[in-house]
Amino acid sequence: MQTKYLDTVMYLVLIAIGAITIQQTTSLPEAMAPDVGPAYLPVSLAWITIGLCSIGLVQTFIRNNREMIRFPGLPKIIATTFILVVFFTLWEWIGYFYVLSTVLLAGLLIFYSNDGVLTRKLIAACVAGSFVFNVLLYLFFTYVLYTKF
Amino acid sequence: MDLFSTFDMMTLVSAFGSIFLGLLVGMFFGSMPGLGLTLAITLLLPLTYTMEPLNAILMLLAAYQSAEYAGSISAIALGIPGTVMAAPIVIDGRAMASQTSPGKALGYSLYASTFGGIVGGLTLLFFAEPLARLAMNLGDAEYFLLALLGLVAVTAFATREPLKIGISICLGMIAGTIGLDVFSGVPRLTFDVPELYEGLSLIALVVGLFAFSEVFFMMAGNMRNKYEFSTNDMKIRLTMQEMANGFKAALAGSVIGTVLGILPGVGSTIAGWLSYSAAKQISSTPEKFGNGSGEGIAAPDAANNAVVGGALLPFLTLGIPGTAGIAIIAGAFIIHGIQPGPLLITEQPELINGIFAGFLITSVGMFMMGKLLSRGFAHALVTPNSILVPGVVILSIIGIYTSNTSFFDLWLALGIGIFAFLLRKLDYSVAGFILAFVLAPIIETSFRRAMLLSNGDAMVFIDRPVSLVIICLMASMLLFSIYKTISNKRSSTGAKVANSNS
Repeated sequence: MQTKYLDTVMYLVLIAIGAITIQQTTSLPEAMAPDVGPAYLPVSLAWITIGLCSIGLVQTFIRNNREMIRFPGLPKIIATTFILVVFFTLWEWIGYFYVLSTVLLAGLLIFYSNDGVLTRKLIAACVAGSFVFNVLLYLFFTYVLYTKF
Repeated sequence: MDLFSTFDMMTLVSAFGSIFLGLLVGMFFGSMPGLGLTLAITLLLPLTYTMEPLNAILMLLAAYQSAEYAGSISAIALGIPGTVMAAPIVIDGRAMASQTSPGKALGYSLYASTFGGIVGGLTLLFFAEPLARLAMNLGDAEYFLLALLGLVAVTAFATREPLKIGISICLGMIAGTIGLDVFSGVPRLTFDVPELYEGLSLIALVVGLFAFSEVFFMMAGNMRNKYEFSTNDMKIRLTMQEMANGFKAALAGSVIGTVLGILPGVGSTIAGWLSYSAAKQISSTPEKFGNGSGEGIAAPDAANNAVVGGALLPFLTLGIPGTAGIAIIAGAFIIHGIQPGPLLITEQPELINGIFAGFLITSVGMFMMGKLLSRGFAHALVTPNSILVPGVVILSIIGIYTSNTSFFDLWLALGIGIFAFLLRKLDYSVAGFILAFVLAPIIETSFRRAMLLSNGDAMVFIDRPVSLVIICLMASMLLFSIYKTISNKRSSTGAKVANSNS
């Protein structure tokens, strides 16, 4: 993908964020003078953001930079995000953090190790490593920091 | 100032334990290319909830100090700086490591870092009280301008495109205004989500910005790849003569680092490069620079660590964090309900004395740990990303959840992490974002209070000498930024013309 396309999309997203900020804050009650009110700073910043993004948009079109932007490891990023979404959902619904985190850690270790040759020994090491790490976490958080999950 | 008179034995023991943990984590994260000091402080921050305020602050400062030094370990061993600030150390560190010995280069680095840390600490010790007294006379208008100065400096001295830095800062400030308005109690930008009434969680934000986005970057390429290097002759040792040779450069670096650290928004990246060129200018052997000069390692390393003490000075006395690292450390103050500023110096001497004493002990502790464990941390450089990434992910999740026991924060951090990854890909500044986020409440409160007290007269911002000085500083920084942009454009156009001719 060419950088200029992603740049353009990002500028438009940021302009939208600015517009939402203005829309959300202009309805706030006006302050008694001489206080400038709660909307003053966010609205000013939103207008500056929109202004800067507009300049950026114009610059992007003028420069017509054909440089490419690459996302090495994108499948891994998407998969990790999906795994985290599943993990958060399961944790929120069923609890048992340490059980889930042992599975998550072992899964991630195996998934990332898949970049090389994946042997049974390596898988066993990942599972064992995850188990030991989580036991240590449990002991540290439960008996040192008195924090329960 | 009698630093130790107010402490009992238990306080000392727990403080030493916190410093040790901070040093260990900071040194590990600082030495690993890609992880760095911001991630070290970010992952330690949630632990501070259950700690005494002094221990929490000392642990984070120890991590900051040791990560600044440890960035040099990979710079010297691999030629890859562990932190951005360690970039100037690669030039002479790598050359000395291959020509003479890595241990010698690490020696220059460690001795200079310790020296810089102590100079920064002493500056803090001797100048905090006078500066706090001076700060007592500052009004809201001056506070507003000082905080703004930090953000202008971030834009002016950045190596990235100023436009994108400006946008990052605006976004950070908008994020900083989310929550209940302090003056009227009206909810702002909360979208009726109760979890947002107290503002965005700082921990969810920093973990998303620095940890999750970094993890996504670390997924590029083969994650099982390991760095390979020789660990021969890594014993850290310097002769008296070598120490004397590096002294002048370390002193220059310490002074430059401390001064630039005090200036909000400038940070150690510039301090490192500036001290490198300053050391070259004052050196009796400038021809050795670039070919393994000890002075070329000592100056930037001393500057990097002196910046920490320097940056703490405006933070503790004025409440204005000058670097992203200090902005995250400010989180520990917020967590414990401590308001940094002139009143902190006068009203909480026990805490302040503890921070000063602990800071100096941190430098000495860093020296001892560096002496004993640098070789071990160099060995840790071979840890592949396939192990580091899952570790960082789990620690990040635990950190976010323990801070507020809120699932909302987990989702927020993940969303911010993805957004920050894209922003970083496009060269926006997440450091500028977090600094603006922390400074936003200071800027807004001081601006609105100044306007209220002056009955809406905007002249309040320019009618005092201190305000005028700050405005002049901001104007010169902006001019410098414009000059830099124009000269960069000219040189890139020149290079394009030269390329097309050839």
